Amino acid sequence: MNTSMRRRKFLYTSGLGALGALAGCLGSKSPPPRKSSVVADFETSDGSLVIDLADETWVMSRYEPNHQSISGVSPIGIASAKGKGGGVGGRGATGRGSGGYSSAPRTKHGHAWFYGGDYADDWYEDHGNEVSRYGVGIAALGIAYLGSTEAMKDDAPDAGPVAWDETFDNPDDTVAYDLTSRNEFNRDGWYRVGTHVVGSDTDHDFRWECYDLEVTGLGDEKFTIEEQWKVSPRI
Amino acid sequence: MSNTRTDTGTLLALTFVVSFCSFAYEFVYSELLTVMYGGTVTQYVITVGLYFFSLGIGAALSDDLDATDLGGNFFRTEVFLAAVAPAGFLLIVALNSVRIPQSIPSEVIWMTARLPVVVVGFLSGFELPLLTHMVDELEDGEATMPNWLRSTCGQIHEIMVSILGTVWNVKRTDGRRSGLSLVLAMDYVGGLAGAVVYARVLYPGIGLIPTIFVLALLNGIAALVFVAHFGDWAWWPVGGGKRTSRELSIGHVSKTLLVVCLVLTASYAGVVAKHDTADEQLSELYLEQQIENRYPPGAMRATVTSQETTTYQHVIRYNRTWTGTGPNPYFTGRTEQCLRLGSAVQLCESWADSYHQGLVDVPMSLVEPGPKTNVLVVGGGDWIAIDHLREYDVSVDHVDLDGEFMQQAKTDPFFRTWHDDAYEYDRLNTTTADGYHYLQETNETYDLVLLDIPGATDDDLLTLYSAEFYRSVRNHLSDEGVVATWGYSPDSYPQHHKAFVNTVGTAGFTNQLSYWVREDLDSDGQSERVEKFYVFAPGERRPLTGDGETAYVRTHEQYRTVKWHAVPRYRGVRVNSIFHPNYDILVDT
Repeated sequence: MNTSMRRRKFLYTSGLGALGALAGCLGSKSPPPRKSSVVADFETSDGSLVIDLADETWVMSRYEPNHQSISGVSPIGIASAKGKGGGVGGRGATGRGSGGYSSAPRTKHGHAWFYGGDYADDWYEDHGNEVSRYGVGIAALGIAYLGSTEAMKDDAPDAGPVAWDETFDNPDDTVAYDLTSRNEFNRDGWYRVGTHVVGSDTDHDFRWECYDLEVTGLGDEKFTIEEQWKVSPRI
Repeated sequence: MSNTRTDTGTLLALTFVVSFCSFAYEFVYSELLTVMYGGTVTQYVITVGLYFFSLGIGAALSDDLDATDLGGNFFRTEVFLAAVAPAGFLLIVALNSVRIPQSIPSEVIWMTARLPVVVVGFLSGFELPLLTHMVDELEDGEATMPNWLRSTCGQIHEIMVSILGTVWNVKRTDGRRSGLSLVLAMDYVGGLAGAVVYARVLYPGIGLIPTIFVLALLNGIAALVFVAHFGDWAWWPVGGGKRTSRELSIGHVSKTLLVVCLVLTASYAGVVAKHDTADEQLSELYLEQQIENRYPPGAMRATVTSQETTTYQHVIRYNRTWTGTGPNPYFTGRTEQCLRLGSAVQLCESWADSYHQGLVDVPMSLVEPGPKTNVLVVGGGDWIAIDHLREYDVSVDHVDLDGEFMQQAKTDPFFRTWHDDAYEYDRLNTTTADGYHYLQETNETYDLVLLDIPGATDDDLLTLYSAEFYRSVRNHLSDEGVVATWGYSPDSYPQHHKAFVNTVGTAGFTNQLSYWVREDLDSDGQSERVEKFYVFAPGERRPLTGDGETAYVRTHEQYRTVKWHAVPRYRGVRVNSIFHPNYDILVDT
């Protein structure tokens, strides 16, 4: 390799490297989704979606409790937003609605972790002193039909509550809901299950932990859950 | 000798023009990236950094260009620049207009959006070495300079050496200037001219979109002048014709490239001649696409009905029309009128009233009605909040930066529907000023401060979301005073939310009420969320409901559960300060 070729290679490599590094440093600094344990499993049984809540429910948060608590936590109410999406993309697994489910990183309960990945573990390692684990209670659980598989490819909602079609206040450990019982539910496609979590020992509203499920076969009442994604707000 | 002087003069003039364009391109890109992604300082710094980096790469690789075809390579460079620069501009606009699949990592989008900066910088990196070699090739030194240029340079040189001599030991040299020094000098002068003309003439005069076409037109003309002057063109009046072996030869120029250059130049000339129309149509297209992208594909059609730019903001009026299948979940009917200020939606007919109820009628439950209650409204140049405050007979100080917009809103039929000539309210004192500076200067204290300000979408608004501003607001609150503002959803904008509440908390606000205003927007019998609001106080305050509640709060059940809470604090999230901004507080809408 002569000098000119080496120089060219050096310039190309350093140019691409510098641009890549800049993109990495400046393109997205979003923290990863928060870790939590809220729903242990989703099952299907006799036409019903069975939501099995975790035995121990908690969320990781950067919330710093102060000692000026004014009153007990009062759930803010069931969300019914129909508004805009946030557009807060970032790193990590993003295959929800468009493939990539099988290779997505998994949560402790086995759900695919939206926006999760190695960088998330790195972030938690680097910011260990900023996050704490808080025990939470589930003030409400909501279920909503998000849209067809095709529609989700272009318009998957961000983390957070959506316009719930059905809600359960202070749900039991297991919630069973017959998805075929209502017209708005009896469709293949994507469903969101959301849990409104509030601090058990802390006066703080941790808002919503959500799960997006792709359900098929609803017409013949033997539906299956093809994909289960945990969609958490960023910590 | 005369021909050689003309040649050198031509090359130096071309150096000036291409340098002018090259610098100005980067300013255009910096501003465009700021408009698209926010963060003025970040965008300008990164763009300039990338530009110089690419310039260096281009300059280093220019040695590998064929030295026997300097002119041909220079011509190609200019044609490519003329083609690539506007294309890069359109690419950045497209990235923000089309729906990008969510599976594409944001880093890829980030890099793609900066690609035009790199390409223009890289191509510009060829220019200086090529021009230097060409000037050197013509004749050595000063003897080839046109008389006027030699005389001017001599005078400037004399002055500069005299100034240098006041501090350094100098020794005057009468030697010839090298090609490099001449071209470099002209390059810097061109760069300065590009910066000044862009900042003072092009951008404020014709706007960003026509500016990129003006610059590309100049590049195209430079390429044509070059090929006409140094090519074998009998019709060219200056310096054409057969050249001696010592003079510059342009080498082989592809006819296709020449035609491309002619077509591009002619097209750009057409766009520049009709720049008003081009600007309007392109920006309308972009805005409409951007608005439509907020909804599921095919669900909403946006039509911009008017847009104007005041000194401080871009005011866009548009209609949104439901084109989806099934009932419209966003508002009643099929079409309604909305208003955007910059990139933030400010007002839509379906929620104009409920927004102001949340901003005014809810927090009014926390203060007494009547003239003794002092209210400060920061922003709210549409006068609608004033109309709501008028109902409570309170004394209002109103401060807004954009006098031009306030004046227009007084008589605009769209706004009149909502403000009902509230600017004539006899307890209203309006000041046209920046809210932060107003608070620095006033001695008034207020029972209620309402922040009816645009979203945190660009650096210009960082001050209104800073700890210094909120500290200033707190210092002007009466003993029972509170401040109310609308806010972004913590779910959709988690980083903004955390930075915002940490900033407000640092400013001394300890307690907060947060609530959503809800309304049945689509007449389906169920209420939807319209906007989130926060009320902050530096201590305990009375509950929202009870003796002092307004009629609006009394008739809306949802406020029964709204309680005061401590302002949360998040670890590892920096406060936004004027002198140490936390850009996480800016949102990308």
